[in-house]
Amino acid sequence: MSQPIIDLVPAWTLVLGVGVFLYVLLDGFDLGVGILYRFAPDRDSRNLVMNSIAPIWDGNETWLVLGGLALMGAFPLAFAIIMPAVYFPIAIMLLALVFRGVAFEFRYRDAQHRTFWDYAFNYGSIIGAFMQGIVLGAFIQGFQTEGRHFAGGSFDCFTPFSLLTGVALVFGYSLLGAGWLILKTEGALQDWARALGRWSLIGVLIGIAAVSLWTPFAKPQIAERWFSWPHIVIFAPVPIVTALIAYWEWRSLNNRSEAAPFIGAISELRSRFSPACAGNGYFPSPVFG
Amino acid sequence: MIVPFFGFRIMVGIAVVMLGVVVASLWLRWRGELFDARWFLWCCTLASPLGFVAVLAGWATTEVGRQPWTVYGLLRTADSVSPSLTGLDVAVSLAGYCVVYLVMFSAGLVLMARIVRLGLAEEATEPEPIESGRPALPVQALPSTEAGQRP
Repeated sequence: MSQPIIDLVPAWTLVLGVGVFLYVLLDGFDLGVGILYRFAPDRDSRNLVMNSIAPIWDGNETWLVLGGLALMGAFPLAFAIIMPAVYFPIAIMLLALVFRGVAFEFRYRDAQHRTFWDYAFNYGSIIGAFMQGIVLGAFIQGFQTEGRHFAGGSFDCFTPFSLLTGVALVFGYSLLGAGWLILKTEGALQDWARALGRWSLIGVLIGIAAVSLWTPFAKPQIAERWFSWPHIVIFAPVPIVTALIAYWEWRSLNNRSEAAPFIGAISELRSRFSPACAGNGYFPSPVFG
Repeated sequence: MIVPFFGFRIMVGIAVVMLGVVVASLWLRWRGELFDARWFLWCCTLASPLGFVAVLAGWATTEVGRQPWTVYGLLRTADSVSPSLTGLDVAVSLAGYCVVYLVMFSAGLVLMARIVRLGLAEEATEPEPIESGRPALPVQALPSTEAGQRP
């Protein structure tokens, strides 16, 4: 009876992967709506934009709790290395999310300080997304370990590369948010969301190109993985698929389709996410130093 | 051991007081006096912060009571500190949390006090259609909030 019936490592990897993916999609569009919020032309449209996610944002954010707890419960060693390494980005992200979450309730009840809560919602979303991007960048770069401990400093995660992934993720979330707003609004506000979606897509493409070109230099192991036989054949379609989806996304932002931009934004991020997880060779060890 | 001793008794004592309020309310409801008994409504007002006190007391009980262990008998608190984290790191992040909580709690208290001072709506207003999954508030909309201006 010492052997478990199923091997729990792949099962938990799947749980963690699905949890993080759903978080990026679901809270991604909420955070994106918060990022685009500052560009809304007037108070009525701000009301609509915020109301479009008011009933669902807290459910979406709960996936973050699942991700964190699955990491702690199933991969305690990875947790013990990753958490100290990205201590400040995570702490700043949580504080930013506090402002953003409270703004939903306080903005309505505190009319005298509505502008303050508008800024709390917007900057909370931007900083939260940016810090998540820094965590992503630090994760791609890997962590300096010694035995079973993280051996680097608390500010090692802030590098030019992780700042780039931070900015790229802000644009990625904006694209998701624009897709959501196109789905949920109509008329002038929808045209506004489409225009912002085009800007976000340009930012996403620049970000993807920069991160993809930089990653092999930042991490020789990844370069080895990407460019060695037979992986190069497996990964070669990734940029092509990304480009095709980007083209389709651009077209759907410009025609009258309401659901396609959101689906396109999801696919665009998906095409980046799956190779980032499976292809970069993290499995079965979530951390390599 | 003085903190866990009193912390636990405060927590359980408050639970008994809360149960007493519930029993009293059932008794008053059965007699049909629930909304008219002034003394009872005052008791409810005074009891409203007790839940918060109980949470803090219970929290202090577990956190102080488990020392010097993180996991009793297995892992000591001194061994569960992340080696890379400096005292300054922890102080900075703790200060960040304190500042944010001070802002949020003060704003929340001011807003709650304002809503209480405004009191209940004088007359039954038209039932608002449910927008974005949230029913209308049970309290009067603030006069400074334009009517119909949902967030």
